[in-house]
Amino acid sequence: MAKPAVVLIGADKGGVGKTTVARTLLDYLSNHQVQARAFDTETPRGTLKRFHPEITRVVDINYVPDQMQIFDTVHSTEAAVTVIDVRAGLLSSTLQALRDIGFIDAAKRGQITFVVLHILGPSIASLDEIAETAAYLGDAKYLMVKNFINNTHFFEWDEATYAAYFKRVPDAVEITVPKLVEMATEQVELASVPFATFVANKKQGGEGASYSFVLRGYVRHWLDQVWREYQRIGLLGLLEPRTAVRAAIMRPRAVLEAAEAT
Amino acid sequence: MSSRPARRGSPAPLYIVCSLLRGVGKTLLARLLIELHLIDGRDVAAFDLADEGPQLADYLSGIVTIADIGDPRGEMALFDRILAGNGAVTVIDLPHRALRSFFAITQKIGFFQEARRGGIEPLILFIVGQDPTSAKVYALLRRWLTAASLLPVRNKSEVRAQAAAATGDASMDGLDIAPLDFALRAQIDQLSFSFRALWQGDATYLAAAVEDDLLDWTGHAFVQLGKLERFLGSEGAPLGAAAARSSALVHRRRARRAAHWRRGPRRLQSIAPETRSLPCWSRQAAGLPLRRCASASS
Repeated sequence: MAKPAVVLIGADKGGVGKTTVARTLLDYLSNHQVQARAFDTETPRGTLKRFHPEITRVVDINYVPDQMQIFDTVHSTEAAVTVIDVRAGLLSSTLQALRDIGFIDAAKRGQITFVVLHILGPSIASLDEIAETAAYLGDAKYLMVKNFINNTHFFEWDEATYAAYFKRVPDAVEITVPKLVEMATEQVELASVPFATFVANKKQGGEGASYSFVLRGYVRHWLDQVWREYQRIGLLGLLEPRTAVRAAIMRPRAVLEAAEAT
Repeated sequence: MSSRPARRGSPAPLYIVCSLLRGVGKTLLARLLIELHLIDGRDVAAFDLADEGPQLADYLSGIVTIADIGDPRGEMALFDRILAGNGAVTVIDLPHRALRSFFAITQKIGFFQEARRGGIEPLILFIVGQDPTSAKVYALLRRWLTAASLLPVRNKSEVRAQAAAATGDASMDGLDIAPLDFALRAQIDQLSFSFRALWQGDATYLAAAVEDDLLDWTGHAFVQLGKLERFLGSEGAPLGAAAARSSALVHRRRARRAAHWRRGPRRLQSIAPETRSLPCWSRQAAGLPLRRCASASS
């Protein structure tokens, strides 16, 4: 069996778009036929589960049986990639727990691929989070995500200060998630479907929907940009090397259009 | 939108009339397209994005919808409605100020690709202006818009477009709109003027010579526009077939009217009052004696 991959998506600040990024990643994996499962730590309701109900479980990341449900099954699950959407404020404590249970050491030994997507907010506090998060990382792949979907301007950031923080983490990679038109964001929220399903004009059950073509167009364009970022950093190669070879010849928009046509 | 049935078996044309400049005859071309299709009995949906008057909607108020693509709600009202057009011929009058944002949005949302998937054939009619950047923008659009056809229009009826039409690349296929006399242009710029009424012989307020000249010019324009469906690869009866039938009717009517004039000046009393007040030059052109003209005007 291929080496399993665990992707931790988090931030210590709320409202920076962690779940949005998790949704784009699940869509990306699904469109490349990479089997994934997801854990939503926003207990008890879970936002991610609303969009990807079939592959998502809501868990309490501080609760040991739930930790077992996630990490003890990493090798036994059929899913090649495990995505964990970490609730706001729990990134540091989750990383600490992973270190304590030896998960980060397992990644260091090459038994598991461990990727952290750190969603950055516009405040200086976010920069402090970088240093704090990096302390736990070990050999994990650290991806810093500047998420503009919530109209974030990163106004508090001084580029020199940011660069100084960025350099502290070896091999850190930056991803930019552009802004999505608010009306399109709202409509996908209302539809409660994955972005790719919205683009394909389908409901959660797979039956046809009647979403606005204009809004679907905006979502397609935006998702295409996000996926290009994933492609640029070679995310698929990191998580699922076999699929990455196949994906290398397919442009994101071509994949989206194929999904839409089916 | 009119209530006439749509054609079957052909892609529904979507004409986007645009230019880099104002005052080069975009609205005139849009009017001609709309009215020619209406004469041909097609369903027509027309959208006016102009932000200054006189607008397309001022000429064809019952047919034209004013659109604003300044926000997603307006974009939905325009693009979603076009895609749900049920085979109607669609005409968009795109002002120079909205050119960039319009095409940026269409590219972003993949509008032209979706239109083609839905049986709509987009054709951009780009009126070449005398501005030197016109050719550059045309070339840029040609490279950029791979899912829509693009055709240059040399509109010799507009002073601002005449220089470009005269010096334009003759090897470039496109449409040519014939020069138009200033006085005739003044007639068709009247908000009450209708090419349909002219073509169907209902523009009775016009002097015969004016009507003849306008018919000749309009006929030439309609022939040019009739080529568009061949350009788009449409099947079925050619565009302009109904227009040609109407033209025959008009010619019969003109012949009857010529006979009417020949019967004598006393018949003048039965002509509409606004016709009686036409300027002398048009009466002279119509074959009326000037003396009679003066007495009728007084």
